[in-house]
Amino acid sequence: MPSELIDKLRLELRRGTLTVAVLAQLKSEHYGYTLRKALAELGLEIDEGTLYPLLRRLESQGLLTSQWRQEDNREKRFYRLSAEGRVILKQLLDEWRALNAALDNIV
Amino acid sequence: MSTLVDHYLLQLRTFLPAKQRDDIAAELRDSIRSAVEERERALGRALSDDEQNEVLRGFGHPLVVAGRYLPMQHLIGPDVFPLYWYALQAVLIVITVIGGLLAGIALLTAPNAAQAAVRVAVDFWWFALQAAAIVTLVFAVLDHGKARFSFLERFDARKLDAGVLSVRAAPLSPIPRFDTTFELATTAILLLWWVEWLVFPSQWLGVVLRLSSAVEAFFYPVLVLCIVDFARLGVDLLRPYRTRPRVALRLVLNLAWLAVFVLAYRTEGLIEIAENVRSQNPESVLRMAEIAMSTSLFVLAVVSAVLVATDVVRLVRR
Repeated sequence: MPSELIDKLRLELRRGTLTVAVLAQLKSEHYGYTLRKALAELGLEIDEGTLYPLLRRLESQGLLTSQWRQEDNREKRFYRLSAEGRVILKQLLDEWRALNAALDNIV
Repeated sequence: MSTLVDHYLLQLRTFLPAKQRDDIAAELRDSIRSAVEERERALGRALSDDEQNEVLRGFGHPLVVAGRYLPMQHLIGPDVFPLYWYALQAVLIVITVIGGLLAGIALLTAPNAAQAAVRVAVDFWWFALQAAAIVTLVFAVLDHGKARFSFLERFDARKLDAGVLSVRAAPLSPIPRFDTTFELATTAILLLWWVEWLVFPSQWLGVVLRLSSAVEAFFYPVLVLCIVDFARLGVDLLRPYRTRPRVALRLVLNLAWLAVFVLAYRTEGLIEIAENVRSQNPESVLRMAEIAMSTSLFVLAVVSAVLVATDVVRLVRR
């Protein structure tokens, strides 16, 4: 199986799950660096070039809120789930569980 | 922060949306700094340039990273792209055929064929590029404008047998999308050329040619036929199957085109020289252009006659 094909399919598989994972992790407040570390420790690697634009997009969609705060003498942008984000996350998790169950039946 | 990181962020800033530039760059600067500090704590020393480069490679090329912040991710979306691709191919085929005709005349009449060949190749490449740019722009506007083909989402199978576009009328056979797109492209090119919005570069020939006053009698009939045909083809694109009423309409239109082509073929002096730029034998060029025009009209008349015959067979066949 050509590696380009596997990479492309893997990317498609990951694309939706990354959004759910980021929203779920932001039930508690993080800034970009700690969010990436937390996700990596839980088994989901995501590179910075993907994570930061994703955070901005989710914020522009109203699913996250952010603020600049000082920590360790440096300005950091902290993100957390918005009220609308919590509603959407619940729906996405329900969808995810349904898909998982369906896939378990298929495979 | 090191020069390497500063250069990376400077590059990235230039590609970022203006309103968010400072904010995004500040966030990424902090993230890069955190990544560098983590590596330095693990190694117990400052990172070398190569090691900092590895950290920055983990973020990605500045152009790619900045692109992910942009709201528009594609010029022509996946819904419209197949039609755009067909249209682009059709337009390039048509202008290649026309360009080939003009190039043939230029090569046959030019005193220096090699020089003429180079000029033709350069000019034609530029003209083809402009045509491709126009097609791309039209489809980009169609895709991103309000007319986003929402009928595709509002599709209702119950409406298929409504009015004159009834599918109850036989015969029913699919119309290949490439055929329709090709006809749309040729009709669009003809219409734009007819109203002088599109001018083919004839300076290769050493003379500037134009249609003479003899075409005035054909102006409105061709204009009306182009517009009606354009509308018909638009319907064929949305509903790519033949129905009896639409085959009948196409038959009538092709009969009209046949009449236009035959009358134009029988009319002399359709082309005249507007300006002699550098030709040493302009009459020869004009004669060749008239032969090319007559031949084209003959071929178009034959094609129209074949289409008429095809549609007659379709209508009488059960």
